[in-house]
Amino acid sequence: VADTAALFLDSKRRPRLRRCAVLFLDLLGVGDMARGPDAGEHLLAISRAVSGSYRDFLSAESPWPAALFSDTLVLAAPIVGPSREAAAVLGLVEQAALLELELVAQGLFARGGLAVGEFHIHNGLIFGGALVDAYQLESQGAVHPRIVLADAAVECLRGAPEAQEASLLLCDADGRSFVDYLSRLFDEPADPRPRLRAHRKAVVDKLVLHAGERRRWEKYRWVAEYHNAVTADRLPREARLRIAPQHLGSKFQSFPAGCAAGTDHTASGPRQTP
Amino acid sequence: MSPAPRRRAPRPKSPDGRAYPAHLRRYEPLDDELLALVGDLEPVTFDRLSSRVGDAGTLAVLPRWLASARWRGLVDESASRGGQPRSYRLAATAAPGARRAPRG
Repeated sequence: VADTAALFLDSKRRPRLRRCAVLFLDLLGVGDMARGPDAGEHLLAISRAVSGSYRDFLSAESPWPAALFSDTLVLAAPIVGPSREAAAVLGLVEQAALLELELVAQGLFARGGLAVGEFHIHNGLIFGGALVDAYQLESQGAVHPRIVLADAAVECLRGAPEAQEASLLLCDADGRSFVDYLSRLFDEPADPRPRLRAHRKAVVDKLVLHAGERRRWEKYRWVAEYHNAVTADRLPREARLRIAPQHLGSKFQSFPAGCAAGTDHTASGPRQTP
Repeated sequence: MSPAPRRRAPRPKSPDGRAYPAHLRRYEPLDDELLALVGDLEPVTFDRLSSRVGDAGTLAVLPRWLASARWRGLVDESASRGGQPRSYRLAATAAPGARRAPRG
Protein backbone atom coordinates (compact mmCIF):
# COMPACT_ATOMS: atom_id res chain seq x y z
CA VAL A 1 0.00 0.00 0.00
CA ALA A 2 1.22 3.49 -0.73
CA ASP A 3 1.50 4.54 2.85
CA THR A 4 2.42 8.09 1.98
CA ALA A 5 3.36 8.85 5.59
CA ALA A 6 5.94 6.05 5.58
CA LEU A 7 7.21 6.99 2.16
CA PHE A 8 7.14 10.76 2.31
CA LEU A 9 7.69 11.63 6.00
CA ASP A 10 10.94 11.13 7.87
CA SER A 11 11.30 9.66 11.35
CA LYS A 12 10.40 13.05 12.85
CA ARG A 13 7.24 13.27 10.67
CA ARG A 14 8.79 15.98 8.52
CA PRO A 15 8.03 15.95 4.78
CA ARG A 16 10.75 14.45 2.65
CA LEU A 17 11.37 13.89 -1.02
CA ARG A 18 11.51 10.42 -2.59
CA ARG A 19 12.62 9.37 -6.02
CA CYS A 20 9.50 8.65 -8.07
CA ALA A 21 8.15 8.35 -11.56
CA VAL A 22 5.53 11.11 -11.80
CA LEU A 23 2.67 11.59 -14.25
CA PHE A 24 1.15 15.05 -14.68
CA LEU A 25 -2.10 14.88 -16.63
CA ASP A 26 -4.26 17.71 -17.92
CA LEU A 27 -7.85 16.83 -18.82
CA LEU A 28 -8.70 18.80 -21.94
CA GLY A 29 -11.76 21.02 -22.11
CA VAL A 30 -12.55 20.83 -18.40
CA GLY A 31 -12.60 24.62 -18.07
CA ASP A 32 -15.50 24.86 -20.53
CA MET A 33 -17.21 21.84 -18.99
CA ALA A 34 -17.07 23.28 -15.49
CA ARG A 35 -18.70 26.54 -16.57
CA GLY A 36 -21.24 25.05 -18.97
CA PRO A 37 -24.88 24.10 -18.34
CA ASP A 38 -24.00 20.38 -18.16
CA ALA A 39 -21.33 20.77 -15.47
CA GLY A 40 -22.99 18.16 -13.24
CA GLU A 41 -22.95 15.57 -16.03
CA HIS A 42 -19.30 16.31 -16.77
CA LEU A 43 -18.43 15.91 -13.10
CA LEU A 44 -20.06 12.48 -13.13
CA ALA A 45 -18.14 11.53 -16.28
CA ILE A 46 -14.83 12.52 -14.70
CA SER A 47 -15.70 10.63 -11.52
CA ARG A 48 -16.64 7.50 -13.50
CA ALA A 49 -13.39 7.64 -15.48
CA VAL A 50 -11.14 8.23 -12.50
CA SER A 51 -12.72 6.00 -9.87
CA GLY A 52 -15.77 4.12 -11.07
CA SER A 53 -14.79 1.70 -13.77
CA TYR A 54 -11.41 0.03 -14.10
CA ARG A 55 -10.04 1.12 -10.76
CA ASP A 56 -10.13 3.96 -8.27
CA PHE A 57 -7.11 6.00 -9.28
CA LEU A 58 -7.63 8.13 -6.15
CA SER A 59 -7.91 5.18 -3.77
CA ALA A 60 -6.16 5.75 -0.45
CA GLU A 61 -4.84 2.18 -0.55
CA SER A 62 -3.40 2.45 -4.04
CA PRO A 63 0.34 1.83 -4.48
CA TRP A 64 0.33 4.81 -6.87
CA PRO A 65 -0.35 7.93 -4.74
CA ALA A 66 -2.50 10.44 -6.61
CA ALA A 67 -4.07 13.88 -6.40
CA LEU A 68 -6.81 15.41 -8.55
CA PHE A 69 -7.45 19.13 -8.72
CA SER A 70 -9.98 20.40 -11.26
CA ASP A 71 -8.48 19.41 -14.61
CA THR A 72 -5.16 18.16 -13.25
CA LEU A 73 -4.33 14.65 -12.11
CA VAL A 74 -0.97 13.75 -10.60
CA LEU A 75 -0.03 10.10 -10.19
CA ALA A 76 3.25 8.82 -8.77
CA ALA A 77 5.10 5.53 -8.67
CA PRO A 78 7.61 5.54 -5.81
CA ILE A 79 10.95 3.96 -6.66
CA VAL A 80 11.36 1.70 -3.66
CA GLY A 81 14.77 0.22 -4.16
CA PRO A 82 17.89 0.10 -6.26
CA SER A 83 17.36 -0.95 -9.89
CA ARG A 84 13.61 -0.49 -9.49
CA GLU A 85 13.36 2.55 -11.75
CA ALA A 86 12.29 0.54 -14.79
CA ALA A 87 9.53 -1.17 -12.80
CA ALA A 88 8.25 2.18 -11.53
CA VAL A 89 8.21 3.77 -15.00
CA LEU A 90 6.74 0.67 -16.62
CA GLY A 91 4.00 0.45 -14.00
CA LEU A 92 3.15 4.11 -14.43
CA VAL A 93 3.06 3.83 -18.24
CA GLU A 94 0.64 0.92 -17.86
CA GLN A 95 -1.52 2.93 -15.45
CA ALA A 96 -1.42 5.94 -17.77
CA ALA A 97 -2.63 3.83 -20.71
CA LEU A 98 -5.47 2.34 -18.68
CA LEU A 99 -6.44 5.77 -17.37
CA GLU A 100 -6.53 7.24 -20.88
CA LEU A 101 -8.81 4.42 -22.00
CA GLU A 102 -11.17 5.13 -19.10
CA LEU A 103 -11.17 8.84 -19.89
CA VAL A 104 -11.88 8.26 -23.57
CA ALA A 105 -14.77 5.96 -22.64
CA GLN A 106 -16.29 9.06 -21.02
CA GLY A 107 -15.49 11.27 -24.02
CA LEU A 108 -12.50 12.89 -22.29
CA PHE A 109 -9.01 13.37 -23.70
CA ALA A 110 -5.85 14.25 -21.83
CA ARG A 111 -2.38 15.60 -22.34
CA GLY A 112 0.44 14.70 -20.02
CA GLY A 113 4.08 14.38 -19.11
CA LEU A 114 5.86 11.55 -17.31
CA ALA A 115 9.13 12.34 -15.57
CA VAL A 116 11.48 10.74 -13.05
CA GLY A 117 12.99 12.53 -10.07
CA GLU A 118 12.47 13.82 -6.55
CA PHE A 119 8.85 14.13 -5.43
CA HIS A 120 6.70 14.54 -2.34
CA ILE A 121 3.00 13.79 -1.86
CA HIS A 122 1.24 13.63 1.50
CA ASN A 123 -1.87 15.16 3.03
CA GLY A 124 -2.68 17.16 -0.09
CA LEU A 125 0.81 18.63 -0.43
CA ILE A 126 2.56 17.81 -3.68
CA PHE A 127 5.99 19.14 -4.50
CA GLY A 128 9.22 18.28 -6.27
CA GLY A 129 11.44 18.53 -9.29
CA ALA A 130 9.79 15.57 -11.01
CA LEU A 131 6.43 17.32 -10.70
CA VAL A 132 7.84 20.46 -12.33
CA ASP A 133 9.48 18.41 -15.09
CA ALA A 134 6.27 16.47 -15.74
CA TYR A 135 4.25 19.71 -15.80
CA GLN A 136 6.67 21.35 -18.24
CA LEU A 137 6.53 18.32 -20.48
CA GLU A 138 2.75 18.45 -20.43
CA SER A 139 2.49 22.17 -21.05
CA GLN A 140 5.34 22.59 -23.56
CA GLY A 141 6.35 19.21 -24.92
CA ALA A 142 3.15 17.24 -25.38
CA VAL A 143 1.30 19.77 -27.59
CA HIS A 144 -1.22 17.12 -28.69
CA PRO A 145 -3.49 14.97 -26.52
CA ARG A 146 -0.74 12.51 -25.71
CA ILE A 147 1.33 11.58 -22.67
CA VAL A 148 4.99 12.11 -23.44
CA LEU A 149 7.95 10.71 -21.53
CA ALA A 150 10.96 12.62 -20.31
CA ASP A 151 14.30 11.43 -21.65
CA ALA A 152 15.21 10.05 -18.21
CA ALA A 153 12.04 7.93 -18.19
CA VAL A 154 12.80 6.59 -21.67
CA GLU A 155 16.32 5.71 -20.56
CA CYS A 156 14.93 3.73 -17.61
CA LEU A 157 13.01 1.51 -20.03
CA ARG A 158 15.74 0.92 -22.61
CA GLY A 159 16.97 -2.30 -21.00
CA ALA A 160 13.63 -3.56 -19.68
CA PRO A 161 12.52 -6.69 -21.58
CA GLU A 162 8.83 -5.97 -20.91
CA ALA A 163 9.22 -2.63 -22.63
CA GLN A 164 11.03 -4.15 -25.61
CA GLU A 165 8.59 -7.00 -26.22
CA ALA A 166 5.26 -5.34 -25.94
CA SER A 167 5.81 -1.69 -25.58
CA LEU A 168 2.95 0.61 -24.74
CA LEU A 169 5.02 3.40 -26.23
CA LEU A 170 5.30 4.87 -29.70
CA CYS A 171 7.73 7.47 -31.04
CA ASP A 172 6.19 10.47 -32.74
CA ALA A 173 7.59 12.45 -35.66
CA ASP A 174 9.08 15.00 -33.26
CA GLY A 175 11.10 12.24 -31.57
CA ARG A 176 8.93 12.19 -28.44
CA SER A 177 7.94 8.86 -26.92
CA PHE A 178 4.27 8.77 -25.96
CA VAL A 179 1.85 6.32 -24.34
CA ASP A 180 0.17 4.13 -26.97
CA TYR A 181 -3.02 3.53 -25.01
CA LEU A 182 -5.03 2.00 -27.87
CA SER A 183 -2.56 -0.88 -28.16
CA ARG A 184 -3.47 -1.86 -24.60
CA LEU A 185 -6.87 -2.99 -25.94
CA PHE A 186 -5.15 -5.80 -27.86
CA ASP A 187 -3.73 -7.31 -24.65
CA GLU A 188 -7.27 -8.10 -23.50
CA PRO A 189 -9.33 -11.10 -24.57
CA ALA A 190 -12.37 -8.84 -25.08
CA ASP A 191 -12.97 -7.81 -28.69
CA PRO A 192 -11.21 -4.43 -29.13
CA ARG A 193 -13.47 -3.32 -31.96
CA PRO A 194 -16.38 -1.93 -29.88
CA ARG A 195 -13.95 0.25 -27.92
CA LEU A 196 -12.18 1.32 -31.11
CA ARG A 197 -15.52 2.29 -32.59
CA ALA A 198 -16.31 4.27 -29.43
CA HIS A 199 -12.88 5.92 -29.67
CA ARG A 200 -13.49 6.81 -33.32
CA LYS A 201 -16.85 8.35 -32.40
CA ALA A 202 -15.34 10.35 -29.52
CA VAL A 203 -12.64 11.75 -31.83
CA VAL A 204 -15.05 12.57 -34.65
CA ASP A 205 -17.40 14.29 -32.16
CA LYS A 206 -14.50 16.51 -31.07
CA LEU A 207 -13.46 17.25 -34.66
CA VAL A 208 -17.00 18.32 -35.49
CA LEU A 209 -17.40 20.30 -32.26
CA HIS A 210 -14.17 22.25 -32.83
CA ALA A 211 -14.40 22.57 -36.62
CA GLY A 212 -14.31 26.39 -36.30
CA GLU A 213 -11.50 26.54 -33.72
CA ARG A 214 -8.31 25.70 -35.53
CA ARG A 215 -6.04 25.18 -32.50
CA ARG A 216 -8.41 22.81 -30.75
CA TRP A 217 -9.35 21.06 -33.99
CA GLU A 218 -5.68 20.34 -34.69
CA LYS A 219 -5.35 18.53 -31.35
CA TYR A 220 -8.09 16.08 -32.27
CA ARG A 221 -6.80 15.74 -35.80
CA TRP A 222 -3.62 14.38 -34.21
CA VAL A 223 -5.69 11.88 -32.18
CA ALA A 224 -7.46 10.87 -35.40
CA GLU A 225 -4.14 10.21 -37.10
CA TYR A 226 -3.00 8.17 -34.11
CA HIS A 227 -6.28 6.21 -34.16
CA ASN A 228 -5.89 5.47 -37.85
CA ALA A 229 -2.25 4.43 -37.48
CA VAL A 230 -3.05 1.92 -34.74
CA THR A 231 -6.13 0.46 -36.45
CA ALA A 232 -4.33 0.20 -39.80
CA ASP A 233 -1.43 -1.60 -38.12
CA ARG A 234 -3.42 -3.93 -35.87
CA LEU A 235 -6.56 -4.53 -37.94
CA PRO A 236 -5.49 -3.80 -41.52
CA ARG A 237 -8.59 -5.37 -43.04
CA GLU A 238 -10.99 -3.29 -40.94
CA ALA A 239 -10.89 -0.05 -42.87
CA ARG A 240 -14.29 0.91 -41.48
CA LEU A 241 -12.74 1.33 -38.04
CA ARG A 242 -10.65 4.22 -39.32
CA ILE A 243 -11.65 7.87 -39.29
CA ALA A 244 -12.69 8.95 -42.75
CA PRO A 245 -10.49 11.49 -44.60
CA GLN A 246 -13.44 13.89 -44.83
CA HIS A 247 -13.02 14.57 -41.10
CA LEU A 248 -9.29 15.24 -41.37
CA GLY A 249 -8.93 17.79 -44.14
CA SER A 250 -9.22 21.55 -43.99
CA LYS A 251 -12.44 22.93 -45.38
CA PHE A 252 -12.09 26.01 -47.55
CA GLN A 253 -15.16 28.10 -48.22
CA SER A 254 -15.98 30.97 -50.56
CA PHE A 255 -15.28 34.56 -49.52
CA PRO A 256 -16.94 36.27 -47.76
CA ALA A 257 -19.70 33.84 -46.76
CA GLY A 258 -17.39 31.45 -44.90
CA CYS A 259 -15.35 34.11 -43.07
CA ALA A 260 -16.04 35.01 -39.46
CA ALA A 261 -15.39 38.46 -37.97
CA GLY A 262 -13.12 38.86 -34.96
CA THR A 263 -10.53 36.26 -35.96
CA ASP A 264 -7.75 38.85 -36.38
CA HIS A 265 -6.03 39.31 -33.06
CA THR A 266 -3.37 41.76 -34.27
CA ALA A 267 -3.34 45.43 -33.27
CA SER A 268 -4.52 46.36 -36.74
CA GLY A 269 -7.35 43.85 -36.60
CA PRO A 270 -10.83 44.47 -37.85
CA ARG A 271 -12.50 47.70 -36.77
CA GLN A 272 -15.41 47.26 -34.43
CA THR A 273 -18.66 48.56 -35.78
CA PRO A 274 -20.15 51.03 -33.31
CA MET B 1 3.72 -50.34 -29.14
CA SER B 2 4.71 -46.71 -29.24
CA PRO B 3 3.01 -44.33 -26.82
CA ALA B 4 0.15 -42.26 -28.18
CA PRO B 5 1.28 -38.77 -29.15
CA ARG B 6 0.49 -36.17 -26.51
CA ARG B 7 -2.39 -34.00 -27.56
CA ARG B 8 -1.49 -30.37 -27.59
CA ALA B 9 -4.08 -28.24 -25.81
CA PRO B 10 -5.56 -25.54 -28.03
CA ARG B 11 -3.91 -22.19 -27.85
CA PRO B 12 -6.31 -19.67 -26.23
CA LYS B 13 -8.34 -17.60 -28.64
CA SER B 14 -10.46 -14.56 -27.99
CA PRO B 15 -14.16 -14.59 -28.94
CA ASP B 16 -13.25 -12.50 -32.00
CA GLY B 17 -10.62 -15.05 -33.10
CA ARG B 18 -7.39 -13.38 -31.99
CA ALA B 19 -4.63 -15.59 -30.61
CA TYR B 20 -3.26 -15.20 -27.09
CA PRO B 21 -0.55 -12.52 -27.34
CA ALA B 22 2.84 -14.20 -27.10
CA HIS B 23 4.30 -11.45 -24.93
CA LEU B 24 1.84 -12.29 -22.13
CA ARG B 25 3.55 -15.67 -21.58
CA ARG B 26 6.25 -13.78 -19.69
CA TYR B 27 3.78 -13.27 -16.81
CA GLU B 28 2.62 -16.89 -16.43
CA PRO B 29 5.26 -17.70 -13.76
CA LEU B 30 3.35 -15.30 -11.50
CA ASP B 31 0.30 -17.61 -11.54
CA ASP B 32 1.01 -19.45 -8.29
CA GLU B 33 1.48 -16.28 -6.28
CA LEU B 34 -1.26 -14.18 -7.83
CA LEU B 35 -3.97 -16.82 -8.30
CA ALA B 36 -3.64 -17.63 -4.60
CA LEU B 37 -4.03 -13.94 -3.80
CA VAL B 38 -7.11 -13.57 -6.02
CA GLY B 39 -8.55 -16.72 -4.41
CA ASP B 40 -8.01 -15.31 -0.90
CA LEU B 41 -9.56 -11.94 -1.66
CA GLU B 42 -12.24 -12.63 -4.27
CA PRO B 43 -14.22 -10.82 -5.48
CA VAL B 44 -11.35 -8.36 -5.51
CA THR B 45 -10.89 -4.99 -7.17
CA PHE B 46 -7.65 -4.09 -8.90
CA ASP B 47 -6.84 -1.64 -6.10
CA ARG B 48 -7.31 -4.16 -3.31
CA LEU B 49 -5.29 -6.75 -5.20
CA SER B 50 -2.49 -4.32 -5.99
CA SER B 51 -2.36 -3.18 -2.37
CA ARG B 52 -1.42 -6.76 -1.40
CA VAL B 53 1.39 -7.10 -3.91
CA GLY B 54 4.65 -6.27 -2.21
CA ASP B 55 7.14 -6.55 -5.03
CA ALA B 56 7.52 -3.48 -7.25
CA GLY B 57 8.28 -5.57 -10.34
CA THR B 58 5.16 -7.70 -9.88
CA LEU B 59 3.07 -4.62 -9.17
CA ALA B 60 4.22 -2.96 -12.39
CA VAL B 61 3.01 -5.88 -14.51
CA LEU B 62 -0.11 -6.77 -12.52
CA PRO B 63 -2.47 -5.48 -15.27
CA ARG B 64 -0.65 -7.63 -17.83
CA TRP B 65 -0.79 -10.71 -15.61
CA LEU B 66 -4.55 -10.16 -15.15
CA ALA B 67 -4.92 -9.94 -18.93
CA SER B 68 -2.90 -13.14 -19.34
CA ALA B 69 -4.96 -14.97 -16.69
CA ARG B 70 -8.21 -13.84 -18.31
CA TRP B 71 -7.04 -15.05 -21.73
CA ARG B 72 -6.30 -18.46 -20.23
CA GLY B 73 -9.65 -18.65 -18.44
CA LEU B 74 -8.12 -18.58 -14.96
CA VAL B 75 -9.69 -15.34 -13.78
CA ASP B 76 -13.09 -13.83 -14.54
CA GLU B 77 -13.80 -10.11 -14.60
CA SER B 78 -17.12 -8.66 -13.52
CA ALA B 79 -18.47 -5.37 -14.80
CA SER B 80 -18.35 -2.30 -12.59
CA ARG B 81 -21.60 -1.63 -10.75
CA GLY B 82 -23.05 1.27 -8.82
CA GLY B 83 -20.03 3.49 -9.32
CA GLN B 84 -17.70 0.78 -8.02
CA PRO B 85 -14.75 -0.47 -10.07
CA ARG B 86 -14.95 -3.91 -11.70
CA SER B 87 -13.78 -6.93 -9.74
CA TYR B 88 -11.99 -10.21 -10.35
CA ARG B 89 -12.49 -13.77 -9.11
CA LEU B 90 -11.02 -17.16 -9.89
CA ALA B 91 -12.71 -18.89 -12.77
CA ALA B 92 -14.43 -22.15 -11.87
CA THR B 93 -11.72 -24.11 -13.65
CA ALA B 94 -8.77 -22.36 -12.02
CA ALA B 95 -6.57 -23.59 -9.25
CA PRO B 96 -3.32 -21.97 -8.12
CA GLY B 97 -0.58 -22.98 -10.50
CA ALA B 98 -3.08 -24.56 -12.86
CA ARG B 99 -3.38 -24.38 -16.62
CA ARG B 100 -0.60 -22.77 -18.53
CA ALA B 101 -1.03 -21.91 -22.15
CA PRO B 102 0.69 -24.52 -24.28
CA ARG B 103 3.83 -23.51 -26.13
CA GLY B 104 3.79 -23.04 -29.85
